[in-house]
Amino acid sequence: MPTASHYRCPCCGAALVFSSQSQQLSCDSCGNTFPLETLQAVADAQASNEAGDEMTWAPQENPGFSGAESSQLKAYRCEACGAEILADATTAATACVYCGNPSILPGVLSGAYRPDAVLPFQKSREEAMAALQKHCRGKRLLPRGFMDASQLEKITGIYIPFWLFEAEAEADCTYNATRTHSHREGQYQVTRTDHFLLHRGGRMAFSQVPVNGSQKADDTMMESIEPFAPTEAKEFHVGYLSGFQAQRHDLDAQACEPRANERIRQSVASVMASTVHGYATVAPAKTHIALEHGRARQVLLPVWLLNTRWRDKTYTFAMNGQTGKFIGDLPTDRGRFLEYLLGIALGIGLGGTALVYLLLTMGVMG
Amino acid sequence: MMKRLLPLLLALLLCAPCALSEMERVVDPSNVLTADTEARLTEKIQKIADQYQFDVVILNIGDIGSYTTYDFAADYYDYGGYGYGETHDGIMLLLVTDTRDYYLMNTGSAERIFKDSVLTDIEDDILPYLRKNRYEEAEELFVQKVENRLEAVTPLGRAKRLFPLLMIVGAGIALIVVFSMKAGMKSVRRKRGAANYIQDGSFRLDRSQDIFLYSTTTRRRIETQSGPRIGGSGGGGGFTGHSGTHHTGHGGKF
Repeated sequence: MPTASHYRCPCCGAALVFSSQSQQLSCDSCGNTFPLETLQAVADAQASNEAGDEMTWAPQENPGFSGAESSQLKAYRCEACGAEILADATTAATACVYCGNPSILPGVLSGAYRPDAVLPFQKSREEAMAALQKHCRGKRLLPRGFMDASQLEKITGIYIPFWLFEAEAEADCTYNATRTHSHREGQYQVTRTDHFLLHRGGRMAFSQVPVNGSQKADDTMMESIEPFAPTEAKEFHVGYLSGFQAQRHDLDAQACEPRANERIRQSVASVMASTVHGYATVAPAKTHIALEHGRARQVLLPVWLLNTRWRDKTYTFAMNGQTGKFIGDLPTDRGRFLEYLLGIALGIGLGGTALVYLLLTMGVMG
Repeated sequence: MMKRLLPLLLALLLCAPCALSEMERVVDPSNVLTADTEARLTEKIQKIADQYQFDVVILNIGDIGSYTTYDFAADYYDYGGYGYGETHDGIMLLLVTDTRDYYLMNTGSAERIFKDSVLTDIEDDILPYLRKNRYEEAEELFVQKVENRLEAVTPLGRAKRLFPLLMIVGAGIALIVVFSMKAGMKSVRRKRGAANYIQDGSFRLDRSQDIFLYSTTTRRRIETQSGPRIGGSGGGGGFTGHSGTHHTGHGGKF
């Protein structure tokens, strides 16, 4: 069974986690912080000196996971407490359910699954919790007691695998357009409509269009926390994952291409249409887009996921771990909805009537 | 001349002598009203006068000689000293029972309150009764309609009339506000495009061509307004009585 690795403090031996503030690995036990390069050097030095004990047992015959199970589920051993960690095949980093030790699961992000880059967390767990409070504040239709009674079930900092697409788009668009002129001839209003065929051609470059590469992460939710600024991404190093969860992609670049194309097509059409001026009506006729120098690279992007439970229903919120953009649908209280509806309607009806009466009495209104 | 004025003098004698508060406002030499109805109408008219400072006069007379109905009504009202305030605010219903003529006459503020359309409404309501010689019901209805109209043009009445409209406006605004609040509860939305990821300054428009294809022409005849509308029967315009007071009114046969 492979062993889940993690970074241990060279000073006190406690587990290290990646700090979004210092952008280094920090030790909660002794308070020291270490750059990734230092820890890598320490790990290399220790590896050359370590000679493992040989304490082998004769394992009992076990049928093991079935073929389908083993492709979906992997077992790892926690390096800190020795417990067995079960994780699905796409989990790249997690925490031990017994000792809470952050564990990076070996091999999951190797080979074709190795990301090209990682955008480290810049927002902390506390900031995510504060953002949830702020998100609910001032929402007048939120059920009374939602903030107090709902329970934060889970808050997870997770690296989601995204494919970032970049390409130059060469576009040719045609439009049917009309221009009208109207004048009077005796008893007649004469309207002349000129019909045109418009052609616009040009190019633009798209950089790092993100498409969610994980089937587990909700596409709409992931798009809602955009934009990310992947230019700040670092070269991939497993140390960035320490203390967070991480997934490897289960949708390859080819599977994500249709969504990238759809978004690029939409934006190209919009930009090209903005170059058409001076017509009464404009209707798109044909749009042809050719992508050049297209490529996709795999990047882990930071996301905070929060689950709250209220009245037997789970509400999921997400925060962009880089920018802090927070999203999540909130429940609407039907009673408060009606209260506001009737309150405003009656307020305007009765208040307006009283105002009219007052103005008429004062002689301000005729 | 004396013969011409006789009906007027007789009618005036019936309500003289008196100060405004004591003047008879229901004058019935034709005897088409019972004493009870006359008393009831008088009481109601007095109540209107007290509440709105507005005079209501009813005269049922058999014959007005060679007078026109509007001249007779104007002279009776003006020389009888009816009307409140400097503008002699009030309305009068004249019924000539022998010739079956009627005239509704406004004075002072009544000209503004009882416009042509309002007088037409009153006529439409009372004429069916008059045609059946049900004078009492017609006159009671007349007084009631006058009171309703006076109530409707008070600040409270006008505000009340606006209430349903304001409630509809309020409901419309409330729906817009509440649904925008509800939309604010939803923040999970799919992105439409990739505008955030277009490289700054990368857009270049290389080809731009506007090709004229053809023209279409439509001709629409301009509708001209038809001639001025003809007014209602009996003359709806204003006139000045012999006393010099201005009146408006409606009249005709029943």
